[in-house]
Amino acid sequence: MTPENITLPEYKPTKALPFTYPCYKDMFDNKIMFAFKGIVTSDLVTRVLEIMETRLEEERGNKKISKKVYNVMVECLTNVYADEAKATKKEYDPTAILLVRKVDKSYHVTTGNYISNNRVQELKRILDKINAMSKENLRSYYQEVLVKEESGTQGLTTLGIVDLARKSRQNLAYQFKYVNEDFTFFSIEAKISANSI
Amino acid sequence: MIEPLKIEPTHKTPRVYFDPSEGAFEISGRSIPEDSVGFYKQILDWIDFYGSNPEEKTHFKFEFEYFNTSSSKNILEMLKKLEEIFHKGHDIKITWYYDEDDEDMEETGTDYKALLSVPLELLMKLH
Repeated sequence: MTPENITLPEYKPTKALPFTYPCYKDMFDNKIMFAFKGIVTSDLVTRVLEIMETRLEEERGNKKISKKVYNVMVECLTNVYADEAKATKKEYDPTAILLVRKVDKSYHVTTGNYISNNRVQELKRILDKINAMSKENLRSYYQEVLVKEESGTQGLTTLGIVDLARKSRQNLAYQFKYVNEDFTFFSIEAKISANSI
Repeated sequence: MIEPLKIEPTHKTPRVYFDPSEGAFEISGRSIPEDSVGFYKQILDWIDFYGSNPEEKTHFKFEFEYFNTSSSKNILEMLKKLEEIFHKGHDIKITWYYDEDDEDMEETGTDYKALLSVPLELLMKLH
């Protein structure tokens, strides 16, 4: 039988597994090379990093970029797991999402997780402040926060955000999606491009 | 003589090998512990104790693969303690190693150097 003789059935979402293909297609269209949704524990962080190390080695790309993607992932993931550990309310969903996209020759590392609504304004203020800074301003701000911020501060800290911005060398994209009177879903993305390092 | 401090590395924590009798003061590997303050406390306490009666010369080597910002604050604490010993008139030298492909680790070393007044040398590791 030649391929011309094969008639494929038209794709129709059915009651059985209606989500598989749309989910795959969505990931394909968005150039997602790695995705995880679940509770980010520190054990999971080390496993995800192992997988990504292999994936990046397979790509045989620029080693400086691979190292940077790796460093950014370390910070993104530990920010999310530390944040998740803060959850105390029963209705809080501690799961987070991690996505790594490869768009042309750039890597985009994105995390999303629930945060308390009372953190939104402060986070937005910090993100806007950092995004407006030059490379030199970021450096001095990083040093200032490194000295000032208390040891043991957990979660998505100012130092963590400044660190992401410095490693990325580009503005951090972010979004706050209001969920209910207690929580907001917070997404943040750091890009790593060959032409910015 | 102070007891050596030797901690085996894990996927999340660095190898620590402080043995004054061998002149070895090395911390290397990864640092993304869940409780960075808890992990570094033993190291900071050891340096405090060592600083009360240090060797004639002390050469600390930092050779991290990667660490998160939570650890970076504890690492700064370590370096500050070494700086204190240096300011008491002791011979302290620090070497900060970084991989030739890792500009973030180089940058962090440069930041520490800018914040401290103890001799800190940055050294690139070639493949």
